[in-house]
Amino acid sequence: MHANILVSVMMLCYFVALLTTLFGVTRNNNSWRTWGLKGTLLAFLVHSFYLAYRVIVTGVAPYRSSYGSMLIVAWVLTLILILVEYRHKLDIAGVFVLPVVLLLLGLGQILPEQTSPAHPEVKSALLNIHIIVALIGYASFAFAFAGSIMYQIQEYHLKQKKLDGLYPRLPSLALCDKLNRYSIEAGYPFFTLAIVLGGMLSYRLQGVAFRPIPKVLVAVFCWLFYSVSLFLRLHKGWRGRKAAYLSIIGFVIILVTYFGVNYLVLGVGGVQV
Amino acid sequence: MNVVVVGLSFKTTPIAVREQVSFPERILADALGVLYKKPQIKECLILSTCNRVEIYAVVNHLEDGIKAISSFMATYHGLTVETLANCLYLHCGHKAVTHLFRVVASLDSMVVGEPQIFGQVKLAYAMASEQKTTSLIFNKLFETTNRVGKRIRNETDIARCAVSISFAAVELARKIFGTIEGKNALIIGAGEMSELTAKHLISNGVTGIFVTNRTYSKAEELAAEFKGQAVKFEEFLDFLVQIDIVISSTGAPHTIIHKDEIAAVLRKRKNSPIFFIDIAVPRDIDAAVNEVDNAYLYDIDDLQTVVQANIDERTREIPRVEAIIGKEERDFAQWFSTQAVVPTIVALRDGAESIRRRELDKTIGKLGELSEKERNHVVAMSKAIVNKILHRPVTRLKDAACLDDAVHYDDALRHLFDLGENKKRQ
Repeated sequence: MHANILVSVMMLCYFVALLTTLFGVTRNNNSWRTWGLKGTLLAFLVHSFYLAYRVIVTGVAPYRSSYGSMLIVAWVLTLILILVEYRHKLDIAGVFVLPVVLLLLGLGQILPEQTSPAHPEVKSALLNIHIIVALIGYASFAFAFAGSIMYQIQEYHLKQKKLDGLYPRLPSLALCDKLNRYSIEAGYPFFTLAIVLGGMLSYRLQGVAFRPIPKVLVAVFCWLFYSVSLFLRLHKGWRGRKAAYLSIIGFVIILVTYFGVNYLVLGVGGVQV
Repeated sequence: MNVVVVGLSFKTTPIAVREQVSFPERILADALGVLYKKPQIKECLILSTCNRVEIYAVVNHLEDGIKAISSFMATYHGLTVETLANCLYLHCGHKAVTHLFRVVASLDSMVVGEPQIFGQVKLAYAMASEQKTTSLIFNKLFETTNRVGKRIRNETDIARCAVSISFAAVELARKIFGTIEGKNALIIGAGEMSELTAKHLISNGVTGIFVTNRTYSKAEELAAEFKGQAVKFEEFLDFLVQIDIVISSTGAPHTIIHKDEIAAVLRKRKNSPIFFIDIAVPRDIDAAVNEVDNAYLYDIDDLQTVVQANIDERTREIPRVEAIIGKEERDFAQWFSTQAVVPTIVALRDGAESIRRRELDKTIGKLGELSEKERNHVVAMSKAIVNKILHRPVTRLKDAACLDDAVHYDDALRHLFDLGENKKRQ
């Protein structure tokens, strides 16, 4: 399923969208920027088409495999990007989000695909919702990561008083912080729900709500990290630069632990089984 | 027929002379009327700002037209032409159009990229249009000028960033806070620069203005001016908890705001950012305040660096602006030259049409009873013959219109078809 014309087209579209947006932003050229936006839309359409195609051809939900999960996270992430770009006229966000999208898709291509075996619970609505909400949570946190990078860069410019480079193209600090904050606040409930549903599933299948296997430990650890981040922001006034660091570290933790658990630790990837 | 501009600007003329020749709004209508009545003037427009006085006109004869305009400019204000002779510049044809576009693009302004000139040109046109001193040529020219102004502002960065300290401060505030509407600002001390900055902040939506000064009465005075509130100097540090933007310019010989104080303030503000503008020399605010998380401190040197960088950026945009001006000028020139031959084309078509009608009536009369279908065919044939014969010459004339020998084509056509003189051309 990896080597596929559709996949190549999709990756190419994203790559071209990234380059045109980057070019348009750095040269402050409006026509290149519009093409960047259109390219992103096109890539998204191809992506959606590919997802649908996978479902039809395999007959199984795409997130049953690790590559499919990656596809979905990237898809939700692109969707968030498009919505934010249009709402805030923020085509520069593409410069930071599209690389993450490409990274996710690229990693999915390189690493061996793992599919979870058919399981009596395969048709379980609970399992499907558990996975989907987890993926939406990941995508939100990925967007928060991109927004935090933007914040850090803009903060550097303003503090060092070097008002060149990306400074004029990047949005205000307040907006970068908002992107970070709202992404975390939106993704957190989804992620929490995923943890809770995971516990319910585990109880139903194995009789215990919490099993100290790598998959579960890692998920709970991530959840704890983001819980602490939210607490620090809401009650300790950790906004701006500190919140940006947290979101960046948080997403790196997700990436490392997700791939670590799925590909390094012996076990089945993709689904908590 | 030619477009000309006669005028003087800050580049050629000191203010003492400019103010004598200016046309303030209240006399503009009358002035336009007087100028328009002159026989050499076909269309006219007066652009009078604090930096320039320019008269744009469409004239039949270049020399006569320019003389008429220059003498008008002088005598209307009770001066002699000689006094203005050294200051006036003039452009005709392509150069006049290019000059107008450069003016509206603010390339000819004191500060390149300044925003007022665009509105001023629009007003000048509105006034001339109202006084009916414009017609086909100027209507098209100023429609194009408007488009040039818009394109420059949308497609280039020439007017984008601030080139004055106070504007730069507002821009920075925006980059930090997103929107500064509803934010609170504190003015410490007094002074022209800080008051100007405060004015800009207010016009950008800052609502809470607070003023503090070692002398409380002075704080009250300034606060009243901005419809704000005075704060006792001893209490201003505590007050900072509510303040988002601080403008400081006291005459104090030492710093009055320090790093630890601000760190404490920010904790109380839950790290909501504060933007400090320190215009004082010697500085009021300890430079270390910039190290505090969520505090942003810019002193007068920093702001000046920002302004200089923006000026450099504008200068870099000039080639792009010139390119837009060049293209628009060429398009206008093409349209303009086509106008000159329009009467010839009309005369040609009219002449052909009257011949066609005469011959058609004669033939139909001789043919006697014709069915509707037959009649239609005959009419259609007559029209087709005329159109096809005229098609090539008319197209070629239009194409040649922008070339220098358009005049010869035009003359030849008129002579060959006996169309009389082209009144639009002289």
